[in-house]
Amino acid sequence: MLEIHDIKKVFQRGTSSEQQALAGLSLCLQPGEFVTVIGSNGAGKSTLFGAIAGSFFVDRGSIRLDGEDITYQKEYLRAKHIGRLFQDPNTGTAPGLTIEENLALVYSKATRRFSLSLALRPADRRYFKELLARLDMGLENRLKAKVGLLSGGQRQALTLLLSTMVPPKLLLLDEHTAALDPLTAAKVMELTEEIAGQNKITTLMITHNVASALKMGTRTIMMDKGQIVMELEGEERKTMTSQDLLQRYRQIMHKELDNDRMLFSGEEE
Amino acid sequence: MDILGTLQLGFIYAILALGIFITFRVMNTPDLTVDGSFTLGLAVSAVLAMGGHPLLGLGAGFICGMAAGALTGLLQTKARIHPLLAGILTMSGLYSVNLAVMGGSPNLSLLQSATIFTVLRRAFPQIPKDYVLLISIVFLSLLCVTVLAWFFRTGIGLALRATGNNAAMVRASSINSDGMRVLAIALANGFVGLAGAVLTQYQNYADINAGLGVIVVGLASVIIGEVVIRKRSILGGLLAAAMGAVIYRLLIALALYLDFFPAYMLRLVSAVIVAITLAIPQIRELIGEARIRREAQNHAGNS
Repeated sequence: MLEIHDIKKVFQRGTSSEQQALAGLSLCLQPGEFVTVIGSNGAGKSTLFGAIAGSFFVDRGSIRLDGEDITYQKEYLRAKHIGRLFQDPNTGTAPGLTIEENLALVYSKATRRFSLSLALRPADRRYFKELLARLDMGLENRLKAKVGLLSGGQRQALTLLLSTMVPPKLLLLDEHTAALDPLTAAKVMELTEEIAGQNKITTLMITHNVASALKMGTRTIMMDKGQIVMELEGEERKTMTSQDLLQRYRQIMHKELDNDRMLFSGEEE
Repeated sequence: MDILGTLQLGFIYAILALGIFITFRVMNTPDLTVDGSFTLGLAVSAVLAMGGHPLLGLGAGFICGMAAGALTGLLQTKARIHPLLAGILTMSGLYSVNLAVMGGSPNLSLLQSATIFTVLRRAFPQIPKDYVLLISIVFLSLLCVTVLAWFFRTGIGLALRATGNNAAMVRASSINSDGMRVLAIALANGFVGLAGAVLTQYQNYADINAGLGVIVVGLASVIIGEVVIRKRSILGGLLAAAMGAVIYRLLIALALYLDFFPAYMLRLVSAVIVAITLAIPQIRELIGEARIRREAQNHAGNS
């Protein structure tokens, strides 16, 4: 479904803060696969998502989605097939519009010709109520409430609904529950699994929660310095505990630290 | 005090206020193109009326206003120029364009020409002149409100409002948010141009400086309207802007009638009204902080 081949990205090239954010990364996702992504801050996880979603063009390499080369496609055009959720619940919704207007905007764009006809029809409203009821947050009775009045968790659940109302080919979840309280986070995570599973949406999810990285989906990748440094799947992943994974994580990080030390000492000699 | 005349003028400026409402409230970016696009609409309309096409003048005023707005929108989105500066650039350039439209003359008289109002008066000779004017102007501005209220509920209209709210969300819905922004600014200036176009035929002359400071008049109207009509739906906002313009005119007329200040102080008074209103949230916060500090000190003093 998603084929990323050897992508590279350097930010602020030629300045003192030059930074290789993606260093020849390749990744393939099968249709319907749910892959979790872990790695320390600055490992390039969000940059990878930015590259896939088209926030910027990569310097080298190619990105294909469902056979189509999207390497140089504009962000808003890619968005037709890619849903994306961020940590900040404010990014995915228009706070000044009502719940039903948010839903109507996305729904009318995706299902009808984008036009000068009314965006919200009575039949839509019934459908929206049904969808919202599935979130089990009482939003189905607040269609005319401004989204700005909702809690972070409600907003994130709504964003999830917006980006999957018409199932995308790829769903990118960038720590989408990190800003929520534990109970709400668990609830949104549950919804995520349910919605992605029901619609068999190919999903990539960044998380800092090692337990959910192992629990959700079928494969886990670890990133560091713009590359994938470890992949876990199958039996090995099933039997792995959070402790084991942290242990592995430390091992990999240490090895690199040691390499750095050797490099520095080599320079001194 | 000429109430009918004030109402007529008020409802003409209501159309201007609708345009300002679109940029200032819907898109959340005040747009300074309006000083230029208002005069552009006015100049185009005057010249066409002089050529015997008053109705065409209104349409052309709207279209030309849109074109000016689209230019500002492109400067903002494609050239990434700061929205305020983009507006200033278009407005400044339009001064020359407007003079060119008016054939190099700083003012034109329409007293010898047919306007939509002379046509309407001739069509309804049994109704007193002032009422023909008022009814037609009120009809036109309410038509504008209705059209906009409908537009903002269509797919494109919704996308436009969402762009002013959260452009990233609009892009995530696979809609070109830059395109929406250009459309919004164009539409806003279309209404501003239309207001100019109506005004020139109403007062039977065109002046190159007619647009000076209309941005402040428009902002004042939107703000005054929001005090009166508190409903924050899109229709509520549009009605508030239109009513605000009428109330603004009435207040000004009243102040002049009672001789509160000479006519040349008008701009200053408008600017002060807008500045104070925009500062109110900040003033409230300062008062709140002062109260907290005072209460805390009292508390410390008591214990």
